[in-house]
Amino acid sequence: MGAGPAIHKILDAYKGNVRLVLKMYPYKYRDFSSMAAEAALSAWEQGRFEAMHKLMLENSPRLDKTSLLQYGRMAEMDVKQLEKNLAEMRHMKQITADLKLATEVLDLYNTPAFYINGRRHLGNRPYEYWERVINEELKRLGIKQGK
Amino acid sequence: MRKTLLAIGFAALMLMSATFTFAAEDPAPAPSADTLYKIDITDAPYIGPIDAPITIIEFIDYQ
Repeated sequence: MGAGPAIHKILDAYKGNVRLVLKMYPYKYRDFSSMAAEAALSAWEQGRFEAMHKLMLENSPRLDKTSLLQYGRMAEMDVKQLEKNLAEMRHMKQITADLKLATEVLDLYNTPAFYINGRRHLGNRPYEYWERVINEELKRLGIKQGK
Repeated sequence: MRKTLLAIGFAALMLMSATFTFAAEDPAPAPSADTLYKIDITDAPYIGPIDAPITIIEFIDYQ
Protein backbone atom coordinates (compact mmCIF):
# COMPACT_ATOMS: atom_id res chain seq x y z
CA MET A 1 0.00 0.00 0.00
CA GLY A 2 1.02 3.59 -0.45
CA ALA A 3 1.53 6.41 1.98
CA GLY A 4 -1.56 8.08 3.31
CA PRO A 5 -2.34 11.75 3.05
CA ALA A 6 0.31 12.62 5.65
CA ILE A 7 3.18 12.60 3.17
CA HIS A 8 1.22 14.69 0.68
CA LYS A 9 0.42 17.14 3.43
CA ILE A 10 4.18 17.37 4.04
CA LEU A 11 4.76 18.09 0.34
CA ASP A 12 2.30 20.96 0.59
CA ALA A 13 3.58 22.32 3.90
CA TYR A 14 7.22 22.22 2.83
CA LYS A 15 6.73 23.18 -0.78
CA GLY A 16 10.01 23.83 -2.51
CA ASN A 17 12.03 22.05 0.13
CA VAL A 18 10.76 18.50 -0.34
CA ARG A 19 10.62 16.15 -3.30
CA LEU A 20 8.85 12.78 -3.24
CA VAL A 21 10.39 10.09 -5.44
CA LEU A 22 8.49 6.88 -6.07
CA LYS A 23 10.06 3.46 -6.46
CA MET A 24 7.84 0.54 -7.42
CA TYR A 25 7.33 -2.37 -5.08
CA PRO A 26 4.33 -4.29 -6.45
CA TYR A 27 3.46 -7.37 -4.39
CA LYS A 28 3.33 -10.34 -6.68
CA TYR A 29 0.35 -11.90 -4.91
CA ARG A 30 -1.92 -8.92 -5.48
CA ASP A 31 -3.85 -8.86 -8.72
CA PHE A 32 -3.36 -5.28 -9.87
CA SER A 33 -0.14 -4.13 -8.20
CA SER A 34 2.10 -4.55 -11.22
CA MET A 35 -0.45 -3.03 -13.56
CA ALA A 36 -0.78 -0.01 -11.27
CA ALA A 37 3.01 0.36 -11.25
CA GLU A 38 2.97 0.26 -15.05
CA ALA A 39 0.24 2.90 -15.08
CA ALA A 40 2.35 5.10 -12.77
CA LEU A 41 5.45 4.86 -14.97
CA SER A 42 3.38 5.42 -18.10
CA ALA A 43 1.92 8.54 -16.51
CA TRP A 44 5.42 9.75 -15.69
CA GLU A 45 6.42 9.29 -19.30
CA GLN A 46 3.44 11.34 -20.39
CA GLY A 47 4.05 14.12 -17.86
CA ARG A 48 0.86 13.28 -15.96
CA PHE A 49 2.37 11.47 -13.00
CA GLU A 50 1.19 13.58 -10.07
CA ALA A 51 -2.46 13.45 -11.10
CA MET A 52 -2.39 9.72 -11.85
CA HIS A 53 -0.46 8.90 -8.67
CA LYS A 54 -3.01 10.71 -6.54
CA LEU A 55 -5.97 9.11 -8.31
CA MET A 56 -4.55 5.64 -7.77
CA LEU A 57 -3.91 6.33 -4.08
CA GLU A 58 -7.41 7.71 -3.58
CA ASN A 59 -9.07 4.80 -5.34
CA SER A 60 -6.87 1.93 -4.16
CA PRO A 61 -7.50 -1.01 -4.15
CA ARG A 62 -9.81 -0.50 -7.16
CA LEU A 63 -7.02 -0.74 -9.72
CA ASP A 64 -8.27 -3.19 -12.34
CA LYS A 65 -7.56 -2.37 -15.96
CA THR A 66 -10.89 -0.63 -16.60
CA SER A 67 -10.44 1.54 -13.51
CA LEU A 68 -6.83 2.40 -14.43
CA LEU A 69 -7.96 3.54 -17.87
CA GLN A 70 -10.67 5.62 -16.26
CA TYR A 71 -8.14 7.28 -13.93
CA GLY A 72 -5.88 7.78 -16.93
CA ARG A 73 -8.67 9.67 -18.66
CA MET A 74 -9.28 11.74 -15.53
CA ALA A 75 -5.54 12.51 -15.33
CA GLU A 76 -5.66 13.62 -18.97
CA MET A 77 -3.33 10.89 -20.15
CA ASP A 78 -3.14 9.49 -23.66
CA VAL A 79 -5.37 6.55 -22.77
CA LYS A 80 -4.72 4.63 -25.97
CA GLN A 81 -1.03 4.61 -25.17
CA LEU A 82 -1.75 3.70 -21.56
CA GLU A 83 -3.84 0.73 -22.68
CA LYS A 84 -1.05 -0.42 -24.97
CA ASN A 85 1.52 -0.05 -22.19
CA LEU A 86 -0.64 -2.04 -19.78
CA ALA A 87 -1.07 -4.83 -22.32
CA GLU A 88 2.67 -4.97 -22.99
CA MET A 89 3.78 -4.07 -19.45
CA ARG A 90 6.19 -1.79 -21.19
CA HIS A 91 8.09 -0.67 -18.08
CA MET A 92 8.46 -4.16 -16.62
CA LYS A 93 12.25 -3.92 -16.72
CA GLN A 94 12.22 -0.82 -14.53
CA ILE A 95 9.61 -2.30 -12.19
CA THR A 96 11.65 -5.48 -11.81
CA ALA A 97 14.80 -3.47 -11.14
CA ASP A 98 13.03 -1.48 -8.38
CA LEU A 99 11.67 -4.68 -6.89
CA LYS A 100 15.07 -6.34 -6.96
CA LEU A 101 16.63 -3.32 -5.27
CA ALA A 102 13.95 -3.38 -2.56
CA THR A 103 14.04 -7.07 -1.79
CA GLU A 104 17.61 -8.10 -2.51
CA VAL A 105 19.63 -5.01 -1.65
CA LEU A 106 17.55 -3.08 0.88
CA ASP A 107 15.88 -6.08 2.55
CA LEU A 108 12.44 -4.52 2.47
CA TYR A 109 9.52 -6.79 3.24
CA ASN A 110 6.71 -4.32 3.36
CA THR A 111 5.42 -1.04 1.98
CA PRO A 112 5.40 1.80 2.38
CA ALA A 113 9.09 2.21 3.12
CA PHE A 114 10.72 5.63 3.07
CA TYR A 115 14.23 7.01 2.76
CA ILE A 116 14.51 10.64 3.72
CA ASN A 117 17.86 12.00 2.56
CA GLY A 118 19.08 8.44 2.92
CA ARG A 119 17.61 7.69 6.35
CA ARG A 120 15.16 4.82 6.51
CA HIS A 121 11.65 5.01 7.99
CA LEU A 122 9.34 2.03 7.73
CA GLY A 123 5.54 2.05 7.57
CA ASN A 124 2.89 4.71 7.65
CA ARG A 125 3.30 7.42 10.27
CA PRO A 126 1.21 10.35 11.42
CA TYR A 127 1.85 13.82 10.04
CA GLU A 128 3.56 14.95 13.27
CA TYR A 129 6.19 12.26 12.87
CA TRP A 130 7.12 13.37 9.35
CA GLU A 131 7.03 17.00 10.42
CA ARG A 132 9.59 16.26 13.14
CA VAL A 133 11.81 14.31 10.74
CA ILE A 134 11.71 17.01 8.06
CA ASN A 135 12.36 19.77 10.58
CA GLU A 136 15.35 17.84 11.93
CA GLU A 137 16.68 17.37 8.41
CA LEU A 138 16.22 21.05 7.54
CA LYS A 139 18.03 21.97 10.75
CA ARG A 140 20.83 19.57 9.88
CA LEU A 141 21.14 21.27 6.49
CA GLY A 142 20.99 24.72 8.05
CA ILE A 143 17.81 25.66 6.18
CA LYS A 144 15.13 27.84 7.73
CA GLN A 145 11.63 26.87 6.71
CA GLY A 146 9.50 29.91 6.02
CA LYS A 147 5.80 29.19 6.34
CA MET B 1 -10.47 -14.90 48.64
CA ARG B 2 -12.82 -12.62 46.81
CA LYS B 3 -10.63 -9.62 47.60
CA THR B 4 -7.57 -11.44 46.23
CA LEU B 5 -9.41 -12.30 43.02
CA LEU B 6 -10.53 -8.72 42.66
CA ALA B 7 -6.98 -7.51 43.18
CA ILE B 8 -5.65 -9.92 40.58
CA GLY B 9 -8.36 -8.87 38.15
CA PHE B 10 -7.59 -5.23 38.72
CA ALA B 11 -3.87 -5.79 38.21
CA ALA B 12 -4.53 -7.69 34.97
CA LEU B 13 -6.75 -4.89 33.76
CA MET B 14 -4.10 -2.28 34.53
CA LEU B 15 -1.48 -4.31 32.71
CA MET B 16 -3.72 -4.70 29.66
CA SER B 17 -4.56 -1.03 29.55
CA ALA B 18 -0.90 -0.11 29.95
CA THR B 19 0.03 -2.37 27.05
CA PHE B 20 -2.79 -0.98 24.97
CA THR B 21 -1.86 2.61 25.73
CA PHE B 22 1.73 1.90 24.78
CA ALA B 23 0.69 0.35 21.49
CA ALA B 24 -1.85 3.04 20.74
CA GLU B 25 0.47 5.95 21.40
CA ASP B 26 3.34 4.49 19.40
CA PRO B 27 5.88 7.08 20.47
CA ALA B 28 7.36 7.10 16.96
CA PRO B 29 10.87 6.11 17.92
CA ALA B 30 13.67 8.29 16.72
CA PRO B 31 14.82 7.27 13.26
CA SER B 32 17.92 5.15 13.08
CA ALA B 33 20.03 8.14 12.28
CA ASP B 34 23.25 6.27 11.73
CA THR B 35 22.67 4.37 8.53
CA LEU B 36 22.59 6.38 5.33
CA TYR B 37 21.31 4.51 2.29
CA LYS B 38 22.26 5.51 -1.21
CA ILE B 39 19.50 4.67 -3.65
CA ASP B 40 19.62 5.08 -7.40
CA ILE B 41 16.60 7.12 -8.48
CA THR B 42 17.42 7.46 -12.17
CA ASP B 43 14.19 7.47 -14.23
CA ALA B 44 12.04 7.29 -11.08
CA PRO B 45 8.91 9.46 -11.11
CA TYR B 46 8.75 12.30 -8.61
CA ILE B 47 6.63 15.14 -7.30
CA GLY B 48 8.26 18.41 -6.25
CA PRO B 49 11.33 20.31 -7.38
CA ILE B 50 14.29 18.24 -8.56
CA ASP B 51 16.68 20.44 -6.57
CA ALA B 52 14.76 20.24 -3.28
CA PRO B 53 17.14 19.88 -0.32
CA ILE B 54 15.09 17.01 1.06
CA THR B 55 14.32 13.92 -0.98
CA ILE B 56 11.78 11.41 0.27
CA ILE B 57 12.06 8.13 -1.58
CA GLU B 58 9.01 5.93 -1.13
CA PHE B 59 8.77 2.29 -2.10
CA ILE B 60 5.13 1.90 -2.97
CA ASP B 61 2.57 -0.76 -3.79
CA TYR B 62 -0.48 1.06 -5.12
CA GLN B 63 -2.81 -1.81 -4.32
